[in-house]
Formats: sequence, C-alpha cells, structure tokens
Amino acid sequence: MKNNIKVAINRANINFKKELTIILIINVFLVATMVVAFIFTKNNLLFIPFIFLIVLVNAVAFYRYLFLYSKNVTDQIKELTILLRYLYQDINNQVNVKDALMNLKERASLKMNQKLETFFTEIEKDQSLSPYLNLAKNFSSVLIEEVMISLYRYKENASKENLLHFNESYLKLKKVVDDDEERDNNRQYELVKATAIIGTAIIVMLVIIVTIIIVEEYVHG
Amino acid sequence: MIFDYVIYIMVSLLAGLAGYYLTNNLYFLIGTMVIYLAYFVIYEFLFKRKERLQLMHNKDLTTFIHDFFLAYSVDYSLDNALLAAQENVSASLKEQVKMLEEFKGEEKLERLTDYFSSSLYQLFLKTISICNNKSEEHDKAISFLLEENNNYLLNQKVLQKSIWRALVEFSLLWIISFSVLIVIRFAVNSYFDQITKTGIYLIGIIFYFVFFLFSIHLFMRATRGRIKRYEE
Repeated sequence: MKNNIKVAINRANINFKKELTIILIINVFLVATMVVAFIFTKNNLLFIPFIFLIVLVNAVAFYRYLFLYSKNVTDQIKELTILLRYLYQDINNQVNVKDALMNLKERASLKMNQKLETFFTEIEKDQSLSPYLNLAKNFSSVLIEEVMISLYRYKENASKENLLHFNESYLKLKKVVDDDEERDNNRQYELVKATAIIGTAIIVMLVIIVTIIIVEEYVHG
Repeated sequence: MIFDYVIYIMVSLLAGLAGYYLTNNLYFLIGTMVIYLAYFVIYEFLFKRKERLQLMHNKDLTTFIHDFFLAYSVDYSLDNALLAAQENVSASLKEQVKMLEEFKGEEKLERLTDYFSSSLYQLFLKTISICNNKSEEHDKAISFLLEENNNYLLNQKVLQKSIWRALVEFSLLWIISFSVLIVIRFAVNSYFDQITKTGIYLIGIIFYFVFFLFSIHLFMRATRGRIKRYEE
C-alpha cells in the first residue's frame, strides 16, 4: 500500500516526504481533536463522526494525487493544442513548417520547450516520421499523433490535400480538448453542489446523535 | 461590484441569524458574522478584484479586436484602426493606450500585452505582423482571427451564463439544507434547550457552519478556475 501511495504522489509531481508530513500532521490533529472532544464530553458516539472524517480526509488526499496526475496530462495536451493553433494559423498563411515550428518556442512553457528542443534536435538528424511520433508519444492522445503525422505529410509535400488533412486533424483535436474542458468544468461544479447535500446529512446525523444522547440520559435518569 | 458586496453582507447575516436560531447564543451570531465577513473581505482583496479586472480585460479584448479590424479593413492604417478600437472600450484601457502615446503602430500594440494576457491577443499580434509583411495572405489571417474572436465572445457569454446557473443551483441546495435545519429545530422545540446544553450539538453546529464556509470557498475557487481557463 505504501508503494501505491508513493507512486501516486510521484506521478502527481509532488514531493513525497513533504506530502507525507502534511498528511501525518492532519491525521495527528484530527486524532488529538477527537481525544480532546471525548475527554470533554465523555461520549463514545463522538468517535463515529471523527473516524468517518479521518477516513474521508485520507481518501480525499489519495484521490487528489490521481486527480493531479490526470490534470497534469490534460494541461500538457491543452498547452500543445494552444501552440498548434499558432502553427495552424502560420501554415494556413503559407509559412513553411520549419519556421512555423520554430515560432512555437517563444510561446511554450519551460517544460514544453524541453520537449520541443528534443524534437528539433531529432528532426535535424532524422528526416523521417519518427521525431514527430516521438513528440506525440509525450502526450496520451491518439489525436495528437494524427496531427503530427498530417504535419509531417504536409512538410514532405505541401499540397492542398495534405493541408486540408492537417486542418481537419487539428480541428478534431481542438474540439475534443474543448469538450473535455467543458465536461471538467461541469464536474467541478457538481462536486461543489454535492457539499450542500453533505451539509444536510451532517445536520440529520447530528440531530439523531443528540436525540439518542438525550433519550439515553432520560432513560438512565 | 456593489452586487458582490451585498451578497457578502447578506450571506454573513443569514449565516449569523441561522446560527443564533440554532443555538440561542448571541456570541455565536456575532462570531459567525465576523468570520464570514472576514473571509469575504480576504477573498475580495486576494482574488475577486483580479477576477473582476480579468473579466473586464476580456470584454475589452473582443470589442477591441472587432472594432480594430472593422476600421483596418477601410484604410489599412494601424494608427487609425487603433484610434477606432478605443471608442467602445473601458476607461482603464483608454488610459493604458494614452500612456503609450510615445510609441507607434505595431510597437504600441505589443506594449498592450501586459493588459491583455490572453492567447487571443497573441494571435491578434501575429495577425498584425502577417498584415504588415504579406499583404496577399492578410485577408485569410484576419478572417481566422475574427472567427477566433467570435468564439471567444461566445465563450464569454456561455461562461457568464454557466456561472450564474451554477450559483443559482448552489444557493438553492444550501437554502434547502438550511430549511431542513430550521424544520428540525422547530420539530425538536420541546427539548431544544436540553439539546443546546450538550457539547456535541454545539460542536456539530460549529462544524456545519465551517463546512458551509468551506463549500462557499470551493464554489468560488471553481468559478475562479473556470474564468482562468477561458483566459487561455
């Protein structure tokens, strides 16, 4: 289990030791609060919500790592799609593929520039499709591979047909990225709205627990 | 902006009053109101002002690009187009352009990159560069940019609508939650005094209001993230 957590944290590009320290502090704080609350109220039922909270916090933390990893992947695809927009415009305005690709460097982030540098180094040595496919392999998207293949074809033969094919594959990628983003936005809002339902559940649980306490006190005098 | 301030005060007041109704404790009312107001004030200074500014800049951008090319298509003069593009924008942008009086043409437009941080503005500058260098392809470049500009404007409207819809849904759900709370309070009226004396009830109510504030924070964060994504 420790290995699974370590892998999940590393994939999310978070410092493992720092993250483990934060989780430990939060868990110790919750346990300490539970103990203090029990000392003051002397009520066993108090353990139920606290144990539920501790499990919830740890589950949310673990889910967060998976979410961050997925977000990193999506952000990279999104950044490349934005860069491809400039490429799309340049190529459609008769700028040659090499110059259009070079123009991307000034707009790319540091991480993306590293990938682009590797790509440019490879195309200097290898004029085949391989460097284009190697760049596409950095992103988990078949559509990006399609765009890079169509870009290579256009570079080899700047015909109208190849330009059309490149345009189609880019626009297809853009639509998918835009749709994913919209879905992601809606999902965030759905999660936030769910907190209202959780709030209601907290109140209902609270009243039940307190009513049980009062009935218990009444029964036992 | 005034609308936002009214919302902050109303939410803090309602939370405070709900807290008082549920605990019969005046300190709880004051404490809740103070904490909620403090949160909103901090949020306003740290994030909301930047958000509002960004939305204004986005609105300016689409108007600017549209009016710019409308004028540019007449006499292909950058300076005249820039003059025309300033007519329907905010006072803030007019002020910014006025500060760049010493610069001319393309250089002036490049200096506005700090004001317009969106990638659409980069596309706009690229189009201007194409217009200046290759006159035979500039129609295609302008047409592409105007299509992107229209999409951007459409996305802004969709964004505003979706934020409003989400706000209404979020508010309704929490109103229902508070209604359940008030109904339960009413239902246990006969032994409510005994309930308020139990420590666990007070802890639970405090937790509920902290959770409510946390939920508001998540909502505002989701909205902020959504606005930021439309920037790119």
